[in-house]
Formats: sequence, C-alpha cells, structure tokens
Amino acid sequence: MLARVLIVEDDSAFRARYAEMLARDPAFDVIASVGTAGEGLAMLDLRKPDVLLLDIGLPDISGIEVIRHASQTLPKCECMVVTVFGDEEHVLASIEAGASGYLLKDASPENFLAGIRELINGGSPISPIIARRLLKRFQAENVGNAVEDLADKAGDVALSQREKEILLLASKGFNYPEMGKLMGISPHTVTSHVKKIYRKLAVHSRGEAVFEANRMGLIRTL
Amino acid sequence: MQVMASAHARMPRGFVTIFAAVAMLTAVPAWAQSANAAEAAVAEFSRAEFVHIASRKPASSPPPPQSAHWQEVALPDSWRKADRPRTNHGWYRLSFTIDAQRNTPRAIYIPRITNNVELFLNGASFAVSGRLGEDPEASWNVTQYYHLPAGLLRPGRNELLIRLHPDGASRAGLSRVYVGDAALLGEQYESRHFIQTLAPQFITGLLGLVALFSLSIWWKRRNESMFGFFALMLMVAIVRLVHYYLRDEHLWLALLTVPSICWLTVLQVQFALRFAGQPMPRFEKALIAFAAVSTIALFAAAAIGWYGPVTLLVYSVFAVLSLVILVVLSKSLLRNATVENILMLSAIAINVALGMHDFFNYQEWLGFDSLYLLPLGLPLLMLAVAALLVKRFVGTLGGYEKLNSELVHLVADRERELTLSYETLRNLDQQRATAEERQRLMRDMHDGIGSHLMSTLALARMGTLSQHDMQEILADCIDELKITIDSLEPVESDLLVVLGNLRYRLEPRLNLAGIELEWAVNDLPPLAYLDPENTRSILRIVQEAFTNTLKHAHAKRITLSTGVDYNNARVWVRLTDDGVGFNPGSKSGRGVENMRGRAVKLNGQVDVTPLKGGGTCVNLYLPLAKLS
Repeated sequence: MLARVLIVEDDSAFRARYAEMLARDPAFDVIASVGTAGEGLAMLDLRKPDVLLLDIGLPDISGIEVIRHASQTLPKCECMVVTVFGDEEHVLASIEAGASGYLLKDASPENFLAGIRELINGGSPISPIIARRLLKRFQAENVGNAVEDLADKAGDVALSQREKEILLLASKGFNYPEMGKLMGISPHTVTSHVKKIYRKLAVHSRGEAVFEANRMGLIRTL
Repeated sequence: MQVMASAHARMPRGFVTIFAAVAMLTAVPAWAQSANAAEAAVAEFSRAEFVHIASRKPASSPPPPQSAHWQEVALPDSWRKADRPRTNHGWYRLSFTIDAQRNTPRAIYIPRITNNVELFLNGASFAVSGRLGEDPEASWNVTQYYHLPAGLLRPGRNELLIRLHPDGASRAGLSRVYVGDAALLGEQYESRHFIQTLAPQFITGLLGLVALFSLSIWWKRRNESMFGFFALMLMVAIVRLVHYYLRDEHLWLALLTVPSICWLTVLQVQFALRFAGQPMPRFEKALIAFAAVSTIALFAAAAIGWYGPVTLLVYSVFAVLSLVILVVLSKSLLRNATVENILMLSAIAINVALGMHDFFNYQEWLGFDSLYLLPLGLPLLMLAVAALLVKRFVGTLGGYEKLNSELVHLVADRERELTLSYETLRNLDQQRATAEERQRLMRDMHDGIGSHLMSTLALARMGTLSQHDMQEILADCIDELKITIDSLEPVESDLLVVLGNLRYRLEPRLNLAGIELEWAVNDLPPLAYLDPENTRSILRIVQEAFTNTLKHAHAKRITLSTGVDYNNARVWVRLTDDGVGFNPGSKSGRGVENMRGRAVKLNGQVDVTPLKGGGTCVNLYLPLAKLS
C-alpha cells in the first residue's frame, strides 16, 4: 500500500534530503513538501496525507499545533517529528500533541526509512530517557484521585502492568528485540505497546486539559 | 429577753463574724438581771461573798462555816489586784432564788476562771474541774458551764459555793457569774468557748499549714526572704497561741511563751517591710537587739521575782514601739498603695490594736472577764499574703498567656524571615548553580565542539580534508553535542538510563559498521553523584571506549555489561569486543589516557586489557559513593 507523505520543514536542504530519501522506497509517495506551518495545515486539510513528517521549529507557528490539528482531524495520519537531538522536551511535547514517533535529522537514510516503516507498521521508537520520564509521569499521576476519576471517563489511560514493564526495560537501555526476548513476546508487539503508551499520553494530556476546563467551569458556576 | 437570746442563738458562728461576736461578748449582756427575790431567766452576779483561806491547798475540804470571815467582793475579782498570795485558796459564795413554779433546767456559766475549782450547791459538791490540792493545774483562760443538779435545788433561796485553787504562776480570779436558764446560758457559753478556745485552736492549725506552705515557697525561692520571715513569724505565733488554750502548760512551753510577743512583733515588722519591698536592715537590727535584750530581761526578772514590773516595762516599751512601727510601716506600705499593701497595713494595724488590748488585759486594767484577742488578728495577715499570692498567680498566668500569644507571633515572624532567607539562599544557590552550569557548558563548547569545529574549518580551508574525514569529524561534533544535551537530563542517580541513552545514540552507527552490540546490564544501585558534569564524564569515557573499538578494533561484536562489587564499594561497566586487540603504541593511546584522567576525577579507575584470543576488555570502575 502506498503511503502518502506530507513534509513540513522550513530548511529547504532538509526538505530536499527527506524527499530524496523517501524516493528510494517505492512504498512512499511525497504528496507535498512545504516550509511553513500555515501551508502544512492547509495541505493537511486539502490532501489528507497518511504520514506527516515535520520539524517543530517552524517560522510561523509551532509544529506542535500542526500535530494537534492532524491528530484531531486525521486520526489515521501518523505524525512523525524530525528533531536535531531527539531531546526529551521536544519529543514529549510532540507525543502529547499526538505524534506517534520521531526521527533524528542526522539519521542515515537506512535508519530514516526504517523508522517511518516501523511507524506505519504500528511501532514507535523510545529512548531510555523518555521511557524513564513517562514512567515517572504515569506513576505520579496514578496517585492523584482526580486523574483516576478522569481516567474512568476518558477510557483507561493508566498504564497496564506490561506497559510499565516495557518502560522499565527501555529505561535500562534494552532494545525491542531484547525486551521481546526478556518478556517472551515479539519485538513487534513491544513496539506496538510503546505506540499505545504514546496514545495514552496524548489522551492523558487532552484529559488534563478537559479536566482543567471543567474545573474552571465549576469555579465559575459556584 | 427571749427575743434577744434567740437572736443571739441564730448568730452565725463563722470566722467572719468573730469580731461581731467579740463585740457582743465583751459588753455586759443586756439580758442579764441582778439576782433579786424573784427568779430571773438569767441572774448576773457582779458581787459575791469571799473568804480567803491563808493556808495550803487541801485536796478536799468542807465549805467554810457561816461564821467564817466572809467579805463582799466585786466581780470580776482579780487576786492580783486584791493582792492575795496565789499559794492560798479561797471560797466564793453566791445566793439566788428559785421559783418553784418554773421547771426549766438551770445552769451556771462562768466566762473566765482559774480552772481548779469545786462547785457546791446548797452545801453539796456537784462539779470539779482541774486539779485541786497541792499540785494544781496551770491554767488561766478557761470558760466554764455546768448544769445545776435539779435534786439539789430547792424553792426559794439557794446557795452556790465556788472553791478556787490558783496555781503558782497563772492569773487567778473569777469573772462575773451567770446563773439561770440552761439553754440561754449554754448558747452564751458556746460562743465564748468558741472565741476563747476553739478559734485559737483552729487558727493554730491554720498557722501551721500556712507556715509550711510559706516555708516551702521560701525553700524554692531563697531570694524571697519575705516568705521565710512569714513562716518564722507564724511559728512564733503558734507558740504564743498554744498558751491561750493549753491547760496544764509545761514549764518549757511557758518559758518559750514569755518572750514570744517580742519576737512576734519583730518578725511581723521584718515580714511586712519585705512585703512592702523595703527592708530596713539597720532598723531591723535595732529591733532584734531590743527583742534580745527584752528576752534576757524577762527571764532574769522571772528568776528574781520581778516579773510583774519588768513585763510591764518591756510590754509598755513594745506597745509604744508598735505604734512607731505602725507609722513606719504605713509609710512603707502606702508608698505603693496596692490592694494587698492596704490589706497588709490594716491587718497590722488591727494586730497592733488587739495586742494593745491584750496588753491592757494582761495588766488587768480591763477586768478579769475580758477576752484575749491577739489570736484573732493573725488570719488577717494570712489574708493579705494570700491576696499577694493570688495577684501574683493571676498576673503570672496572664503574663504567661500574653507571652504565649507573643511567642506565636514571634515564631510566625521568625518562620517568615526564615522562609524569606531560605528563599534568598535558594535563589542564590540556583543562580550559582546556573552560573556554574553555564561555565561548564562554555568550557565544554570551547574545548570540545568549538575546537573541533575550528580545526575542521582550518583543515577544510587548506583543502587537505577528505569528504569522508569531514563527515566523520562533523558526526563526532554532533555526538559530542548529544552527550552534552543528554547529560543535562536529570537522571536521579540512575547510571543505566545514562548508558542506555548512549546506546540509543550509538547503536545506529554501530549497526551501520556491522557491529552487533550485546546489552548485558545488571541493575545498579543509585549513584548520588550523577550530576550533569559527572554524567558527562562517564558518558565520554564509555563513548571513547566505543569509538576506539569502532575505529581500531575491527570487531564484529561488542558486549556491554554492568555490575556491583560491594566488597570494594564500586560499580563496574565493562566493554569487551572480539576485535584485533589493544595495541599500546597505536593512536588510541591518547584516548585511553583521557579516559583514565576522567575516571580518576570521579574517584574511579579505567583498565584496558587485551583478551586472550583477540579482543579488548575495557573496565570502568566507579565508586558507590563519590569521595571528595
């Protein structure tokens, strides 16, 4: 199946490089390659791509907004952030907005394409530091009752035992094949678990926003 | 008469009304009538017939005959005033009329009498009190009440005889005598007995308790000599008071009571001056000296038989002195006219007045029936002290509460200040940490990427740099940057996260070079010293090891393992490869030196050893707790 890719990147050199790399695999079809968030949003609405590749640091508005828009209007679209360092702040913010994966700008063409393929096949990458961050975040929020109430309303956004186990192993530096071996499951199952964890984080963040809004509404009615 | 009597009966016996009672008792009872032909409810005898027997005291003797030398005497009758020797004894005779129609019990009431007496009615003895004979009881302040046996009474004229044996030392005499309705006289007797005997007894107990209380206060608070003097004064007062009601007093107690009034006065002054907060050491010394002289004089006088005149002299001087002292004290106490000071002054004034009264009474200028009142004034002093203590206690409680609320505020203030200064400190700390971090980053940029890029640029300008080298150098720079960024992530002492992240960074490149990485890590205990700088150092060491293998070892497989060596309090990170082995002469030598240098700064160690059958093993040892 042909994956239709939209590239949003303000650096034309990188735009060209992404396009060139994607062109190597006939499974991908770059439908548009734009340099601003505004254009990106327009293209999302117009062309409804299957994959969104974007840089967060865009000249007009934050790439985060584009991701949010994509995840809300095109639930089937896989959003992938391309970052320079894969640093946690950027990656977590993107995941919260609805991104399901990220790529490094300096990745080799092989790794770059492998990453996109994995994402389309239902798997997400995770670094030990991000795994650790997520573990901590879900742990901290499991303590709060308000969030648990919210969890009931918003569907189950708490981590399952298996998901926690995956995050723990990932934080110790194990890769997906190793984790699969340690847990007795296939590497592919591990990556799809990670993707689910990212979804939960996004739902969770939306839930927090809803919760916050409700709370403020409540205060107003009092 | 009946109305008066019943009103009297209803009179409360409480301590508060003692003075009212005294006033009533010392006055001549209005309801008493002189004995006359018709029987009165109560007959008062202000006269009697007396016969003085100038002989030793027989244990028993019949009444003297009608022919004896009966003389009329006025009642109260004092032997001292009449100048009768107290070694003799005497008889009093009273006659009264009985109305045959009346059938009420009758009694005799004697407000005060020397205690050794025998009473006869119409020639028959019906009551004995004290000890008659050669060894009479020493007593001087007793009130008596007896029912008149109905069988001995007869209609018309009746004759009452009182045989009186004085003891050698005490006052001898007979007060007015009352005969009549037993109920009326009984009430009269009860009141008199209460004030003359029971009240002093009750007050003695009270003095003892308060003395103990006061003494314990003084014991705990030695600087408040006031309580010491008060306790001492009360103890002297007890000695004095016992004298008022103890019958058959022992000689030693009698001797103690002799100078007690002098010391009571002195101690009362010393106490009162301290109460007012104005001790007068010289005045007090003079008083003490005078009391000492008086004591010696009194004992000397008693020894040579001049006791009467000397007591008169000493007591007179003390009476005058009391008035002077009263003036001194009133000046002292009124300087600060607080309630308790005024109470104290009134108490002392009343005590001086009562003392004066007793002095007159003692000199028998008031009549033998007069009451001794000194004991009744002492509770007033205790009242004044109690007022002071209550004021202090309440004041202390108030002060304590005020202090408490002030303390609460003070603590709150301090807490605020502390929070503020803590905040300031933290801000400073944060600023310093930020500054240090910035410095580190600057150093890093300068020595690492900065110089790397500079040299690359220089080589590029000379045109000697190949495309491949250029890519490699730039990739190094980016790795360097990634390490710097990763080291800034707070990992909370977890080395595995740090190593894992390095793997995550390096694995694509290793895979690209066809090298397989085996991850054989064991859990590590938290390493508290993993701050950004130390994290960076560790990352550099491990990265260097990887880079060396990547560049020089031609390995197919690298294994990274971790573990804890509790015996040596360290953790280890081991990197083994299956490459060509370590060559000390190679270019990698400088890299190993760098690793060693960094490890030493962490109190750690790096070993690089060749493996048998090819390959290299790099061991990084790190302390469990970093020693500075």
